[in-house]
Amino acid sequence: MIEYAVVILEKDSTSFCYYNNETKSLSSDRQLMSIELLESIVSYAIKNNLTVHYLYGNTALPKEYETLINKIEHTKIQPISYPKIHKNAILVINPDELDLLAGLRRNLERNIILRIGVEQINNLSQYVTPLLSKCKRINIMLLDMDKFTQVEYDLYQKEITSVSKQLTRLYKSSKSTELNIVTDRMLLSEMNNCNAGLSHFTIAPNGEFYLCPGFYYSGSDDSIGNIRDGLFIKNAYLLELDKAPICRNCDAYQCKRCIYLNKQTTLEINTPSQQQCIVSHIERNNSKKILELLSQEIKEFQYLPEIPEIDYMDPFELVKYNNSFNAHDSINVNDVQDSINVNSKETDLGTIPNNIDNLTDRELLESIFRMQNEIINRLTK
Amino acid sequence: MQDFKELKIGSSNEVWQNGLAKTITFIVTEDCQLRCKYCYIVGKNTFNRMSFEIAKEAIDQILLDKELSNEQSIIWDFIGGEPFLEIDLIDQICDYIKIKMFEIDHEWFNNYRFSFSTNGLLYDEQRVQNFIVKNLTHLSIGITLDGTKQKHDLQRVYPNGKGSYENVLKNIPLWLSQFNNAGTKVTISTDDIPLIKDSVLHLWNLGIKEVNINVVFENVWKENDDLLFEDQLIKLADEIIENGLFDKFNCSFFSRHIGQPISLEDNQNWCGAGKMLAIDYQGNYYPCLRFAGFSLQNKKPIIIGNTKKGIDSNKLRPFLTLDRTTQSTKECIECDVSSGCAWCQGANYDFADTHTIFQRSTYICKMHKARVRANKYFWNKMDSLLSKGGLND
Repeated sequence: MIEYAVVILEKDSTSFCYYNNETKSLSSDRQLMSIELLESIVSYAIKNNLTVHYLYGNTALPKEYETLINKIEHTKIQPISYPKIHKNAILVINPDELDLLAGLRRNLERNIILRIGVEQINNLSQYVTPLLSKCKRINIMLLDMDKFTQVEYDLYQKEITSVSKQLTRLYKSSKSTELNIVTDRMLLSEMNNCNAGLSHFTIAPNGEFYLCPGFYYSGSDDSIGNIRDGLFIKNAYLLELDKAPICRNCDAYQCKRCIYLNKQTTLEINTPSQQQCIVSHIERNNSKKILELLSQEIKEFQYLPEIPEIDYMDPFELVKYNNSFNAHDSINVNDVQDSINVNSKETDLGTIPNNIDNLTDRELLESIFRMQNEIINRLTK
Repeated sequence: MQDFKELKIGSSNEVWQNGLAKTITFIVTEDCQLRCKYCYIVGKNTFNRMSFEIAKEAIDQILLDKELSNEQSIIWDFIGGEPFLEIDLIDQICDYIKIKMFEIDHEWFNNYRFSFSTNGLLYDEQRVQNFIVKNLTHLSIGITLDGTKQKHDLQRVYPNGKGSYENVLKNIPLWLSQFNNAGTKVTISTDDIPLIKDSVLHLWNLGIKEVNINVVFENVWKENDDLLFEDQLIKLADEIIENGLFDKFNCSFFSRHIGQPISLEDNQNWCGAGKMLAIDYQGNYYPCLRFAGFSLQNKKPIIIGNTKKGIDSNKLRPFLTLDRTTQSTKECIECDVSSGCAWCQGANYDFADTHTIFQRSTYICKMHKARVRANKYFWNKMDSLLSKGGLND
């Protein structure tokens, strides 16, 4: 169900995600959304019970725009270079603005998006570490992921390890900053993808609707409606997780499964690139290590679900040439335990311990009885 | 009593290496002498011809890249347009392939085929015959004869509209003398339906024992076409049974294996696009011929690499993970007679509402169901005959 619209207030609005705003600075004219269009969008949002995420450029908006913007429940997403940053705004720091990080004030309610270019990966921990104690949450967006080779994977591995050490120290001292690439996977038990087209869509300054801003800025003709005719997504089923053969078998739950990157790299919105998968698995496997470490020392982490050991970095390896593959076919003892735990949550048997050996026969049988038939069939096999 | 397993009708075609061989298709030309009305190649032209240099680059890359040549055997496939228009180039390419495979001691050297789909017009040409004699033990050639003169000339015409039947027919005896078990590929569009029975019988009479026959995937089917189609198949079924043709000839419309529901566990894709590779005159790679520009009416080509840079593995990922249920509608997934219902990935892509290969085209739905009904009729009648020991009478 669509919950919110991302509104690109002007063509020069900041990118806050993986896509690049290639048009930025190409034109000297400010191409601001018309006030009439903004009015229509606010009305449309109210009528359709949507909240709005406004994307700002780096020039202050006229007062009448701000008045309209504030008429509806919304989130402001503003670049660090914006003249009057709102106290609740999500702050975007672009690759060419990293030198502004030093002057950033502490605000423990603040969410920050840090966009890191491929050439900046080797300094990632240097950029992130000082921020960890200054805000509530940091989202790292790695740009140009399609250019990643083993060199970048190694660098990213090194940097994510380094920043995780800092984060671990913070957690031990009772601070709890979230860093998407480390902490999200620890806290998730199912996919938490971007869900463009499912829970949100984008309205561009031309009044057309897009799955996300990336599709607007790529100049594609992939409009999915407009403010006059409403939203119409062709082949919307391809946005669903179960229609993504690689992703539906994957447990890198923190992955954004970016459909824009998918389209750019594989030409299909439901198929991720090798680079996106490997990067997500570097993060996933790092989260596993950090969770194991933290759960030995901090009680709260002991309640989080264990992240299983896997022997691949790209789930494509599991499904290629085998178009009937399901990851659960290769079920092992750890998977059995997970199945029981997951199921026990669903059936309110939350007291069953992690270790299957600690179960009484009755508890074990009860757990098996409550499993899905599908899992039982596979166990039998 | 004869067992149905011994019947020629309904038997599976023997596929070289059980279909596990890699297929590399050279689109040597985009030209053809004919303008067949049902042909999916909509961009025929006389100027896009492959050069030997491009073919050589592709061969070197394929033979030296283990990722591209990890199958145990290989079919080097030549297609167009009409491939025999470029017989000198093909001869040069095939010589190079053989020499290169020998030089690098490639395992394919003892495990290869050259394969051709041709309209047959140049089959008796001396240069073509020289090539055939030179490579006979490693060769498969399919000539398309579409049925009776009326049926063939209805579709397979020269640019001036004249039918090509007589010019193909004259080469059939020579072809069959060189490839005794060769089969022909027949295509059925809406206007052909009333001619199906006579066409299949005609081809069998000519000595072509294998008739591989398909309906087109395009949106051409009119109201009642399915009923006419069913009627033709039932008439053909009666002819087969009444004249005892079932243990001599095969027609792919008849199969015991079609018309069943498919379980969710069987999630295989129908089409092999992506597991093969097609190369065009510019050295661009495609998941199959149907994704090249001259095959597409509505969409951009899907290029998955080229002879300079190799394969873009990201572009190949959707093809290698595409399964049945992801691309099928709920109606298709739950269909009671879905087995044997075919699709073409290239056609799916061309007809899809968005730029995707994950939307299955269903224009043939009614035709498949008609085929299933006719098969039920045929196999019930066959089984009744078998149970009475009628085959020995």
